[in-house]
Amino acid sequence: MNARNDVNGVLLDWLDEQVGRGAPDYLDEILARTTRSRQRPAWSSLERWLPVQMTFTGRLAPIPRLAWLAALLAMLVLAAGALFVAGVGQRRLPHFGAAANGQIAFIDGGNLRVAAADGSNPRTVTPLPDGAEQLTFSPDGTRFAYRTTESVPSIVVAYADGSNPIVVATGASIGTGDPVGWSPDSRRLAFTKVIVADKIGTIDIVDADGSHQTQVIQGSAAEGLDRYRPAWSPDGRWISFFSSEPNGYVALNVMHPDGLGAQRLPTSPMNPQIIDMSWSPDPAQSRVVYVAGGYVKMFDLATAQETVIGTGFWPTWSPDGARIAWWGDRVQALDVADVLAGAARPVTLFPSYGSGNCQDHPEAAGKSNCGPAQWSPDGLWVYAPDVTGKSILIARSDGTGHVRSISLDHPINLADGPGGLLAWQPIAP
Amino acid sequence: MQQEVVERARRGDHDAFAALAAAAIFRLDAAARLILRDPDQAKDAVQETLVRAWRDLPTLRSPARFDAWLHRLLYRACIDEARRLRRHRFDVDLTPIDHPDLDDANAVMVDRDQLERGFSRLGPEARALIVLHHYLDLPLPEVAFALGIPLGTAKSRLHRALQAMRAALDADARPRAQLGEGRLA
Repeated sequence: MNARNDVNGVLLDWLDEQVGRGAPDYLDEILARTTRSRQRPAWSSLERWLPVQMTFTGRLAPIPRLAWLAALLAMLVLAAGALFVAGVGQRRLPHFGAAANGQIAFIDGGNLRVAAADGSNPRTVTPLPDGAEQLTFSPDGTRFAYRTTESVPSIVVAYADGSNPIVVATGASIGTGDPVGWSPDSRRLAFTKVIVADKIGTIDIVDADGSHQTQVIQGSAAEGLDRYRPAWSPDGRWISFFSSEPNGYVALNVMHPDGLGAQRLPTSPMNPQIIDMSWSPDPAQSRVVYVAGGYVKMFDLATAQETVIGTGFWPTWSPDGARIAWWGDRVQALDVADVLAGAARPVTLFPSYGSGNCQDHPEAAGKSNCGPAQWSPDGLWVYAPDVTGKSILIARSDGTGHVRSISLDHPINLADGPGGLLAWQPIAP
Repeated sequence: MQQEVVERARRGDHDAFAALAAAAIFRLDAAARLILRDPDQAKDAVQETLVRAWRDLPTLRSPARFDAWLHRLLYRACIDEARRLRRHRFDVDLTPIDHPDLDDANAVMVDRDQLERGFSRLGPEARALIVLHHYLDLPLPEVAFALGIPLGTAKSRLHRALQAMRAALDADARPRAQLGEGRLA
């Protein structure tokens, strides 16, 4: 703020302008909080007891590249082996494969509405509480879950026709807005719970009838480490979750549903603002897609191999796990086998709207999307909100034919993100 | 003088801590607002920073490092805040970044609207680098300490942050069809 070098004078003047000169008025509020807080005893810091400085800022001697590569290879092999060994003996859950298409469900204003697979016959099923979001069908399609973030945050499960809604978890601690993860047998849900005082995320599991809520892994307020956004693997043996890293990045981890065997995957570090991952729906595979460093990447837990799918984000799997769609200036899809063979041939599903904010392109209404492209249960269609949030676009997943749309009575607020307002009901065979 | 006050605060003197907090809150609030681009989030981050500072102060080994330690806590609080409240928001620049030199970049940063857009498109980590180094005038080793990264990494990330800003500014000036960039909320 003073005596700084003037190399970037214009930038510095602008930064000063942005801040202004008004003094913050909440110091008393903070001091009221600290008055009520007890200090940690000095001996509780490990660093005070060790004869070394744990925060090393010096320069290390360079490690020979060959040794580094060998060490990396050994780590990957060990990680793959550990995952394999730790997974042995875990119960595999039945999987019925691809499902038939049920109805497209969407949260439209304060209502749950449905439409036929071709977009026809839209109708209201049931009213929902204000702020309902993160709509997800159970894998067997018989029930759906959603969360509410208004007043008292809750996770609610109801039958597919909207009947018998049950609050399976409630309280300020679950007001995270994170998606809810169904177990592959449709009996349980995993979700993020935040310890409000410390803002540290933990992960709980609850039966779909609201019973047996259990914390399976907790964060560490002392280490500033939280764990959040659980997702169940399709074979039921693993739950993935994100964890904060001391360097500000986010890591992807897995653990068994009983909370044991937690381990960090050797994936690329992820930007905390752009975390997005999903498991391949094929239980014979142990693959995840995620976003890291501006790329969509796939990680194979069996081989510990990370593969770049393309530049972009919002990756989604086809129901058979054979294809991945993602957004990289337009929605594309490609065959995973082609990517692994080094011969990827992406197909455009929704056209590009141009540049900048998608919601600033009303001219692309009804043509281009602004949200992750999700797959129909039979894998023949993909759907997503359009750039205005006023309709749902439906396109063939092979890139042929015309884009259809379902008009919404209450546009989706895309500035807050799609927030899981759309879901396609699977019908189990 | 400050070290004495820090030492008193470490021993549980709340008045001493109040003096430290009062001296620091303006710059912490300013830095947090620049990093997070949201006054409410900035307030939460600063509150978290100072509450944690009070709670953990007895574990601080060297009172002389109080400011550096405080900046580190602020950075962590800002990143946590950005992640927690904007997990499902996207702000991604897919434009391939070419490699202009920094002098060239400085010459372009003349339009305030462009600065606003370019700065907003950076992630909070990159904004923190610029704010700590250029706004708070911290030397790069202090910035590296605050971010918990090696000095060389801090240098290269700062360089990349300014390059990314340049790329964003360039992108604004390019015809739409040439862009491969998407900002999604």
